[in-house]
Amino acid sequence: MTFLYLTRRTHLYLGLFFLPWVVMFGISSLPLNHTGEAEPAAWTRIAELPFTADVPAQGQDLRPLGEKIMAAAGVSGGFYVNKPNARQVNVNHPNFLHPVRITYQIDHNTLLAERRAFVFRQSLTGMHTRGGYNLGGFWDAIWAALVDIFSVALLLWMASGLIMWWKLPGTGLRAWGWLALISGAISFAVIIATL
Amino acid sequence: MYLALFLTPWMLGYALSTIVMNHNASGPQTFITESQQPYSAVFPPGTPARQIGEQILSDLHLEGAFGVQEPRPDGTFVVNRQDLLHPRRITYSPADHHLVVERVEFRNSQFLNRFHHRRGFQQPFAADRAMAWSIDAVIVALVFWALSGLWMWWEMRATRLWGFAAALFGVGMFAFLALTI
Repeated sequence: MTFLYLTRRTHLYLGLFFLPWVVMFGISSLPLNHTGEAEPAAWTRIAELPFTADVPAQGQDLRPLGEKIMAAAGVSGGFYVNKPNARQVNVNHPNFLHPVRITYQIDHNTLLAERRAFVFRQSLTGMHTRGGYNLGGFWDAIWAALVDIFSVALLLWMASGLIMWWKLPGTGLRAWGWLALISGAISFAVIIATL
Repeated sequence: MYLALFLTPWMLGYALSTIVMNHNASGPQTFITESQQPYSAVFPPGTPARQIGEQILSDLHLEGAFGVQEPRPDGTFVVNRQDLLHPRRITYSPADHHLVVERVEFRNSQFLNRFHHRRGFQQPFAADRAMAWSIDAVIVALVFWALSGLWMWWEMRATRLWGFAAALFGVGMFAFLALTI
């Protein structure tokens, strides 16, 4: 087993495993790069119930309260929690297909949970932008780990691609490769410097 | 191959910035005051915020992509000049005709974050349009690599079994996560 053989196989099998992510990141970049009028999403009420809990003071961790709110609304998985003002706490469960938003009205001691209808564009961009290990859900952490591995895979594809190009026989392919590499680097540098 | 070689810097930028963002490693921005100066321009009531921002940037010779918000209750007006390397915050106080220009201290992680988020055709500047076009090229390239990769794999009989296993595992994992979380 030669180094070049190992490089080629790593390039290939990593590519085949991450094929859905490559396609997803590619296609989902389209609506992010070409923003337009988003169709309004429909939200359906799934729970409305009385709820009372101690609200942490400003600057304190809201996640324990978020967990209570998620449990009371009967929703499980990862979530974000924030307190936009003194009277309200918001919990968002960012499901790709049907995200749920839960609003705790502190003054009225009520909890309102709503589920969004499926919107293709938002589901797609949701996959693109989902990341990080701070959501709390087990499978959310797996997704974040796969995003990390995908990023490393991108670096490996670049490195192995460069090695495979360099090992190609003949000087013509190498010369055209240099041209592509250098013109790309110059174009990139010019754009970055002027942006 | 040539497409990949040309787009290597973009892919490198997206790979590194994804790791930074996935680990929330950017940290808060630190602003350094670059200059403070009197500013006497008068904007009639009702002047659109973007027009005011454009005028201020033009007077400072800082033309380029920017974002503005409506003035604060005290009339203070903030323009965010979205430079990729050195973003600036310009604060105009009409009450005392004063202008403060602050520059964001450069950090690699924040630069990568800004690079990853720079997209779209909303800004009318050539560099922004070039960046947006290059992103479209990356999109086409990603889909092309996926399809051409599949074809090249299929042509190599010796790798079909393990390749099929890798693809099936990947598709299964992706489908499960897409339907679950």
